[in-house]
Amino acid sequence: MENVNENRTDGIIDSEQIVGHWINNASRIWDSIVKKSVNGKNGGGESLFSNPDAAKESYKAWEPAMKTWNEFASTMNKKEMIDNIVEGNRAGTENFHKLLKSGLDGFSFFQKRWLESAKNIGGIFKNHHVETMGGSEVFDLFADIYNKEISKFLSIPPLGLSREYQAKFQQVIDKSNIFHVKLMEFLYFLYIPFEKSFTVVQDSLASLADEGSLPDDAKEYYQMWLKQLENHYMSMFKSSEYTSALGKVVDAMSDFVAARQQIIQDSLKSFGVPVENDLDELYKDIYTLKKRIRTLEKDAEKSK
Amino acid sequence: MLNFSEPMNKALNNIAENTEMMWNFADDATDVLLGDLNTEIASTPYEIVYQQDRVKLKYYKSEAKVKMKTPLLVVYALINRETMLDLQPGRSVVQTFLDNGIDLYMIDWGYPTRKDRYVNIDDHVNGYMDDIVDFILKRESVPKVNLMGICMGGTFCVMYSALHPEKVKNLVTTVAPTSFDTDQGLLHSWMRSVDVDRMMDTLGNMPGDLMNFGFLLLNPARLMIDKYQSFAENMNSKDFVENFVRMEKWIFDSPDVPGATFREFIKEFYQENKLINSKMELGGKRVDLKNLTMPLLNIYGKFDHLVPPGACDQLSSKVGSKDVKDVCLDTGHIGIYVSSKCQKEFAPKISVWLAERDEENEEVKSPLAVKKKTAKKITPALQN
Repeated sequence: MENVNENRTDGIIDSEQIVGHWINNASRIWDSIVKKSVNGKNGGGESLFSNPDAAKESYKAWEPAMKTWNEFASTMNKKEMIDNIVEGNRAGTENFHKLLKSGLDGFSFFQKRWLESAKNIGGIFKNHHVETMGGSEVFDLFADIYNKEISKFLSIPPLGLSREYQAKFQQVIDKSNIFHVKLMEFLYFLYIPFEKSFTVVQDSLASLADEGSLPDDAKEYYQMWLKQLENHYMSMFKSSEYTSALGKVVDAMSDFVAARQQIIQDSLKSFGVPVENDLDELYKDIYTLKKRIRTLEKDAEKSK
Repeated sequence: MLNFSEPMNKALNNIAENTEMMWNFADDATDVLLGDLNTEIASTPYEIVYQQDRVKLKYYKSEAKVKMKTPLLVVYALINRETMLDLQPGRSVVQTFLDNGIDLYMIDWGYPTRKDRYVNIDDHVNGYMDDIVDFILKRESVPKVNLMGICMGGTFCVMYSALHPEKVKNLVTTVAPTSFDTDQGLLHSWMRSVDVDRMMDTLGNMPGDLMNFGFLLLNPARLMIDKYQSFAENMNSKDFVENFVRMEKWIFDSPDVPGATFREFIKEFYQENKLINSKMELGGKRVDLKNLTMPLLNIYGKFDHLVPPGACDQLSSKVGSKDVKDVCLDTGHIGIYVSSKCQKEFAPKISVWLAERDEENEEVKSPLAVKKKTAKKITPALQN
């Protein structure tokens, strides 16, 4: 067995040599074990195997592999080889560190952009004067934020063979978001008269209670509230804010339905099902033909 | 020390009495709702004598001894159904006309489908209406018809009469919008803020359900809350429930409106107000109201929130006719036909007005000169 201490200088063990010594010693041990098993102790004597000839044949089959392993071990034991291995490990570690660093840098870059986006959103809040905002202005604020900071992600141009379908899908998401915001705003308008009528009725009841003339009949309370509700609805319906919200929700609904129809039609087309656009073209042709026939019939009748 | 026993006893007594009353009410209401309810509408018998595409022509024959010579063609709106004119016995404009000796024809516009999305106003007026009028003239062997239009149907009749005055003897318009430059009604201001092109390009036809929702929004307090509160209060009355359900059946029976027609109506009427200014064009011809030279009876409702008086009362000053009469009734858009008060004012007034302008009345002596090709008689039991 090689003596590790032979390479020891000044009490410092060379770690590169340790591996080499270990490999060599391990090879020798296994080699001797195999030989003794096959040939008996010191080359003579009884083999450990019941069929020594078969064992010898088997060992002969292994012998090239063992020799290859010994050659490999000797090569690996050489200083240059060990230096290369260590260098490779060091390079791998360095590359890994570089990779990690660039990943972190990239993340920092995006994080910076997100923070800028958040800052922009904060700016939008500031511009809308949130502290003094009324009810429906919240929806304008959200629409502003959505259009400036969120919608652009849905406008990223898609690539590839299926880009057209991706674009349509993005459209549906975008239009759906816009429609839901406008719908919420419209429903909010429908809710406002309820809130106001309850407030007015509460004040009226408080005055009546002070005067001691609260009605006995529950129906009178109902009629009081209903009249207020009706009046508030009438005044709200005539306002420009309501008509504007109505126009916006109708437009948003139309856009969303159109975008959704596109997706549905594309899906149906893949199954070979005729879609609305196909039928509309047919209806148009039928309508035009019928009109022409009617005109010709009338002309024919006049000329009789 | 305050004595709470007396007011407490009174309150408990009230609760007990009210509870008993409530149970009795619930019992009666259950009997009514689970019982046999007659909610049939449009029960007056008629025949379908003509059909073109989805459009049918109903014929109601008068059994009165003295009949008018000129038949009356009633043109209802494309919104909701003409069955409102024959809602129930005792509240039937159709029956009133028949009792007054008027042979009645009524257009059933049917239920448009997507196939009809390209049918426009010209197709309705110069297409369907003109063909139907020609059919009646031939069938009845008369030179002209009396024409009566309701709501949007009245608008169509005005245009038809201006384009074909030679075929119309007398014109009656009821709650018919002809001028749209008014802010009296909510619809007028709402329609100006709607992008109708975008809507119709997307939806094809204007869905009846969406229109119904819009009409309910005109007065949600009354139409969505108070109406049903009133129903709940009167659920124990069979007559009330039957009348209520009939109205519900009619009001929510809303066909879609063909997209091209709806688009034109909003753009050229609500937004551009072309008709009253004689700038409307149909089939390449200008609708000049001065050509409307036949007698005109123009009826509208003072409390009509759908077609306010401001949308109706300008017509009489724009037409070429010298025999013009405006009648403003103290009622709303639907009440003019179904309220019991107006039953005595509305249809009888029209009958008298028409009779005054009819040619000599004839007693029924013999069948009509031209043998009528009658279609299968449709009875109410069959029509559903």
